[in-house]
Amino acid sequence: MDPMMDCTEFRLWRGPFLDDEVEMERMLRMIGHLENCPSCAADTEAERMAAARLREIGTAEECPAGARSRILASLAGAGAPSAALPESGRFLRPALRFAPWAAAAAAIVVTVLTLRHQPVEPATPASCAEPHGSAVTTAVALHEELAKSMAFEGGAAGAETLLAALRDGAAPGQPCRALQCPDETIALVRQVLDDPEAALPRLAGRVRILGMRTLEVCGQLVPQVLCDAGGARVSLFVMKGTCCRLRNLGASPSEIAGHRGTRECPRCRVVAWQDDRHVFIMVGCSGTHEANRILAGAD
Amino acid sequence: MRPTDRRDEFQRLILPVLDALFRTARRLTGDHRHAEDLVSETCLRGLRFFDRFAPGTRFKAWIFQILRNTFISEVRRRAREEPLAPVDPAVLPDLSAGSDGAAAVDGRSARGRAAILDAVDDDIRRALDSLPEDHRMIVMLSVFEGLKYREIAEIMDCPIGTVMSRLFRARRALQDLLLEYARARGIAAG
Repeated sequence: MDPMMDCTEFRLWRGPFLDDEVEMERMLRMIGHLENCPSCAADTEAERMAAARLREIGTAEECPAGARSRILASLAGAGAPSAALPESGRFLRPALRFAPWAAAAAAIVVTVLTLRHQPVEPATPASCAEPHGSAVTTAVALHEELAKSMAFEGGAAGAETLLAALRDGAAPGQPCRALQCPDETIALVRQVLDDPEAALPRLAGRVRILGMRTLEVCGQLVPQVLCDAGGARVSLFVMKGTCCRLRNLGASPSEIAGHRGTRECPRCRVVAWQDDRHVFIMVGCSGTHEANRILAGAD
Repeated sequence: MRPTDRRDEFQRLILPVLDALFRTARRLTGDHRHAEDLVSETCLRGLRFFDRFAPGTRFKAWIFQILRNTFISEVRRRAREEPLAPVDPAVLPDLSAGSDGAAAVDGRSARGRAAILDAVDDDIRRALDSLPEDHRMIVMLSVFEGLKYREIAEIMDCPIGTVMSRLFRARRALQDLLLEYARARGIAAG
């Protein structure tokens, strides 16, 4: 895979990029291109401002009070729901089909949601362009509501604070040593992902878990935990084995070298990097991860 | 769950999206009265079929699909009385097919983006209303309401690639229209 991206390809994908709708590998390449192409960077910023302006105008209109009253009044006087399949029934079937799994996954989410202290906003754009259907589609939909409200304002200090806290003993503000102790880090990251509630005492109030969702990356359902670490938003996620689009990430971090602040451990696949909004910490192996097992079993 | 509880739950979910439904309906129908009718009918259908809504899935996407289906039903009913002009699907390159047409239009896009930033609100609304219905709907769902491409594809009953392609075209068309308005006002170079 050629990591270089030219301006033509960049322009073609700029819209989906700004909508957080490109898959991880392409996103990394686009960010790399942005850092080396002032022209595309300026165009992208202009496009972002234009979209914000459109959104500002487009969302300014509200339902008039009179119309709102009449609509709600008609609902109040309406009959009971019907058991018949609606026109939009096709939209619902996948969710019904995987209801047992959804309940299990929802339980995970609910557990974490109880720990959430503030509204959350859109998260990292790590989904593939085309969902693989069935459980993958359902998994993404299940967590969409949560993911939509997740906001990240990452920073290297946040990642370091998180990793330091995960190491159970390092004081906040101290230099991060976690990437030099990958085994321990992996174990702690897994603990957070597997059982955030149990991990909380170890985090000792220095890291606040904002929520959890499932990403779809090349067909993998990837649990992601979102944390507030020292005031920065940090995204933790674990890739299961190798991924077709990220297979070189562990062995060859050059693919994400375009990211500011990329750091990787030479002895394992813990990779941390950041862009303008996010701090990503990826642990490249989690074959026994419980959440992965549950989600994978849904298929 | 008792019918009254179900109605209460539906109302709890519908309230936060009522503004979004209304403004989308307003753009689809062209006026407030028809928009209110459309939203009202959408809500009644949503409540009627609320048994089929799966908790944990996204209510906003579900109710927007009902909105669109309701709108299409109405358009078809009207079309029997007054046929609509077909939409030309090949105005701009197909993004999903990997076309490099984006580069060709990029020069004018820069001017178009500037036109959006300079445009008065009414011009933006007028430009949006000028888009073909399917393009307008996708812009509203994506840009205004923040729905994901996957959700829009389900609402519009089309592949994700088509969503991307239509969104690409719609954005370019909006920029062109606003540039045209700006020129007409004498505030943009030809």
